[in-house]
Amino acid sequence: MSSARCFADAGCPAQRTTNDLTPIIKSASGRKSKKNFIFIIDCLTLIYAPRTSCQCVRFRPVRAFALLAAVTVVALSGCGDEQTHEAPMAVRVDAATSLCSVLQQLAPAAERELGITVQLNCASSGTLAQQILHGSDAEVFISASAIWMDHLEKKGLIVSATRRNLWANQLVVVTQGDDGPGSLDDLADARWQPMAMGDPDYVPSGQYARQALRRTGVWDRLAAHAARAPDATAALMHVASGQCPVGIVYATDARRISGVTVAFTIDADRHDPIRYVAAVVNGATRASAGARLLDWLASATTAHAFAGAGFTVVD
Amino acid sequence: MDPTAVAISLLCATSAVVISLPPGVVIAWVLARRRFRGKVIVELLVMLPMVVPPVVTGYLLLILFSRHGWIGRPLFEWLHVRVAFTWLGATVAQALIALPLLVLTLRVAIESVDRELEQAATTMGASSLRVFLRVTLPLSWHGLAAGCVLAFARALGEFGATIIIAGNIAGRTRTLPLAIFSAYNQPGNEATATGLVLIAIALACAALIVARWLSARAIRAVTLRLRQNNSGGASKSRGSGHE
Repeated sequence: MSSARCFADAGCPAQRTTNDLTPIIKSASGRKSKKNFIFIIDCLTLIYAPRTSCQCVRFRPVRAFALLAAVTVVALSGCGDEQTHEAPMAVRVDAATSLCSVLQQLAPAAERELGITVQLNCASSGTLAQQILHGSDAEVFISASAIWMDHLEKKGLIVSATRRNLWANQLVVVTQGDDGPGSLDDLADARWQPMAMGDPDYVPSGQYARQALRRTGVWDRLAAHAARAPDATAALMHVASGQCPVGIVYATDARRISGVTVAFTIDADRHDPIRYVAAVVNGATRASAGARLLDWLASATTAHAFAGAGFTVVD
Repeated sequence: MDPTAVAISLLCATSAVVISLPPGVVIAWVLARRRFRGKVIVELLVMLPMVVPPVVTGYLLLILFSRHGWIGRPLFEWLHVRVAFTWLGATVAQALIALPLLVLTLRVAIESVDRELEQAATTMGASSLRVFLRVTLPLSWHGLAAGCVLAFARALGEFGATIIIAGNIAGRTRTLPLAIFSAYNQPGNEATATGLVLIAIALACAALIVARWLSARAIRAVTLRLRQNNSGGASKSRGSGHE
């Protein structure tokens, strides 16, 4: 290899003393390990480049770049293969975060019974709707509120025939200790601020919470002090980590983790009914598999899993 | 919990450096060696992705590359390539945001190349492309490498633009920073978050050490060259022009 030649040259300082390698090796000649280290590093760098004043190896930028690009493409195609191997029946499910832990538990069963690999994309329903609007390749969308589903349906982005309400949920007020607010009116008290909730501009749990607070008449006082989380589960985290003394979250999320206590459940008549709405995305690559998965999720087979997690199964 | 995040990060960042290299090298050379009207505007445009909030870059990219976007629609209709919400989107965003670092570093390196060497090659009949590829770029190699490493590190850390154009899809577009964000937002994942944070710090440190080492070499190469020039070593450059 040409690199070996270069070092042979560098070893003949009588011929070329200007090589910037020579002084380094000389100064390090007493310490063998350091010399070895420098030698190894120099060998590595020689793949792309020689010493600037060493004439034995030339830096060929175009070739170096082609090599780098080729290595990257090979690495990428390796990963691409992996994706296509698992791809045959991979179905992308864009689901509201509050559903994610249940869906994760059900994923092995879906693979066993339907031969479908569930790829979950969990975020707030608003974020997911926005992603579908901009062309993400999801097969199934499960929203925590009808608002975002309506939005997509109006734009023709979901298959209306597959749309259905599947589960219901409740909102609760959570705190960290035993001492908590007794009612929604109490939330206006300064000691419960900042209060964590989903961002009411786009997170459904926040939108339901805002409705309840508005009907109670405390929203105007609370609006400026609410810590707005990017999704429902994140609001719970604000309370669990102690950043916020109280939070309004889903009942199903609150029971999932220790360290928060439910102060009270918000009356269901204070806000629109919390319904999880599911549909197959229009133009999805594996729409039929998506529809099958949706049927399965709506069937009695999986109902116990959702009931076990605290969801009410809607007929 | 999610080892794919590290792999996706490394892959996207490497691809980002690869696709930002050709334009980066050309822009750096133009900025270093050419004078023209509107150079300030070019400089400004190149630096813009680094100084505007990354979310702005991500939003503009989403508009361009989404299913109905100016670039996204033809790409999807003709080639069936989706950019938005795939790792390609993350790569494009990272490339754009890392580009300024590459250009800045390489520009300085090119400016420090002795123009007489380039002129010598030109007088021997080399075309300007040949002079650039055979003289300028080899002499500024350390700057190029340091720029690549810095760009790589920046791409690895990219969050704002990535989450907008690529979403945060576990196993597909969830890069290391996004995985940390998600772990932080989910109950019971503090250990995962801490682990990922440590990996991120380790990767950044490694990149910085490499970049520092490369730039130290670059400085040494320049000082050595200057010393040679001062001691009348004019014959040393004889090999640079011909093979």
